[in-house]
Amino acid sequence: MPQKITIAPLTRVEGHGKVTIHLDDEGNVVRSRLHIVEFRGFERFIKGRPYWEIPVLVQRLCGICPVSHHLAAAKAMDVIVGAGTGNGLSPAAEKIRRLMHYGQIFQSHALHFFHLASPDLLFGIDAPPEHRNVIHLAKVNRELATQGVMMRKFGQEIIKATAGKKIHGTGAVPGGVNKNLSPEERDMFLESGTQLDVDLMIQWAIAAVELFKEYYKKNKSFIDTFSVFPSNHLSLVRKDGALDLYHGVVRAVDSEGKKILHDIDYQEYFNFIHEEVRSWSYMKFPYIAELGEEQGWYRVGPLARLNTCDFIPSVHAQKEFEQFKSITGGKPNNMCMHTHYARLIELLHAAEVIKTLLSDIDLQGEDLIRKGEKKSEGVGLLEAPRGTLFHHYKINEYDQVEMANLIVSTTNNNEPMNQAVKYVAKSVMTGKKEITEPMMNAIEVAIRAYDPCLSCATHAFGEMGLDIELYDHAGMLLDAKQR
Amino acid sequence: MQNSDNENNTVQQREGSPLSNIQSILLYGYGNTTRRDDRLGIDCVTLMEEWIALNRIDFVTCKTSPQLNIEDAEEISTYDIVILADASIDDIGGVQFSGVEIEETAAFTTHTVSPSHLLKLSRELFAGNPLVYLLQIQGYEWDFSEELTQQGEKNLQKAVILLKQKLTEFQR
Repeated sequence: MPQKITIAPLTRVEGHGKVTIHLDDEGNVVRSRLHIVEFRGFERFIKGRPYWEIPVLVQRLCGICPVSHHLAAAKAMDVIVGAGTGNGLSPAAEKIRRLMHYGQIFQSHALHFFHLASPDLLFGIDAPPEHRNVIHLAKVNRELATQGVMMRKFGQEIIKATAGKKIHGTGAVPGGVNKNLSPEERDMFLESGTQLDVDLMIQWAIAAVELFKEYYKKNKSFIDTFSVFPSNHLSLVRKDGALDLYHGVVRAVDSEGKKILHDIDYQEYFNFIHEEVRSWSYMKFPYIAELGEEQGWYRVGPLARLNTCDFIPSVHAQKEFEQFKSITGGKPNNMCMHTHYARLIELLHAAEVIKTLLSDIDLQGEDLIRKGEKKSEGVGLLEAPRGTLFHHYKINEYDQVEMANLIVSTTNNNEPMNQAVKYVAKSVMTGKKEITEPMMNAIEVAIRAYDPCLSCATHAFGEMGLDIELYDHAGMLLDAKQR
Repeated sequence: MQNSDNENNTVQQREGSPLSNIQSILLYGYGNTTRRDDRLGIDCVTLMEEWIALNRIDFVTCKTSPQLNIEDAEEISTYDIVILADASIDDIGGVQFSGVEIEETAAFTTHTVSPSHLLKLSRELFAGNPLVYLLQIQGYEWDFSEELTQQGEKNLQKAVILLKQKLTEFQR
């Protein structure tokens, strides 16, 4: 008999989500959906505000990646104040913002891997739920769990040094930054033997990549086959094709590596990216306009970025990138669980970039803000930890925001996450009469690989639990599970 | 799990560590300041910070954040007492002050690190053993706005009075 399975809300993702899976008479998965059940209203909240407030205000969207929103908004406001589209800032301002951004990438990737993903990998996705969390990790591998906390702390301290505060700082302003990095602030991260030593972070990041590679050797079949489906991939890349998480041009490739967006200027993103609305979710579905709604959806985030870029401009990460690319013979990697691998390579890259930047005397520069001819519209794009983040604003004659459109990373990954749910539901639930907890967790593992921040996508904070309900075709509740 | 204490307002005492030995207290308010009453915890600590500065109370540190974070596990391990202030959606009669106890299977998300989870991490990873309390302040509306509701504002005032009373108790 037809059945409907509901998983709501999701655990260990940010914000509120619900998964429904419909089975037919034979127990085959006929439809699955990731629903976002919170309404998105932040764009209306900032309408009417003066443009210079926006980089600070938009950070309140999220407590995990506020820096990404801060900088994306600041980049859009750079355009509005006539400071150019990412290349018009002073060297000091450009590099301080980069340092802030890579600090954000570092702390977010460390948090995700050590505290959200690693319990699934180290204890198994079918391990008891009471073991699949960082508390259990702390018991069995205290050193690893502590490293996760200290790496997150390092990233937060970088943010504090550049933005003034760990969360919701004010460092970036339209046209630049409001402070440089003092030698004392810089030296805090260069002093060896301390827990904020950047060399220690590089060492720990290398160890994290090795940890994943060891796990991969022993669990190749799972990592290579869990939630695999072809997709397009989109990200910013530097003009020369290098991985660049702060600034660049928009590139997209298809599942075979053919370029489908050819390094476009993101000020014109709206000519290339459209958003579809579906009645059952508040989260929109972006797609590449030329390919249409059915074929134009794409992935963003660490996996997509390593699929679109040509190389990584740092020594250790480039070496790992070459190994990563060799797995698929240089073609795009469409294996969902390899996202964790890609994320750790980016973690290492972020640590290397931070070290390079800390040694740059431009960070102590005094030329912090530049302005030019004012404009009424600006777009800011960057690669947030979870993927490409779009901020687009128009202002009126009174300098108030009259239009805001934010396409956050998780929204870009909406269709891929739905595809992942479908893939895993079909593989683990087809023909099964009973829905077990490990089956439920398998669905979540697929979603978690994208590190979704439903708070960013829906602009709401919330608590998590996990409920699953099983209905027959007549709507009768057959089974219910909760944790 | 919280050990509710809102009726008798007594103060939990750690074994082998009498309150007279208290050297340091962290007041930590958290919430989203753009979601109406979700800012109650932050507003409470902000008001307390002014009072603490005015009264030159040097053993209390104030901190605010949109949420509890895992790295806070290290920070709270350095204090004798930690008081977490947060808005509550539950009907708790305005304000509730309770002790936080460790839950072995505390749920975890990066946006909702629970007080008990934080305490557990502090103990497991940093050998911390602070007394942790949760001050819950009842809220009513959670839409996008920076204004508190009238009832939320009243509860905020109650919470500030209660916290001042608690700090006085800790000082004795």
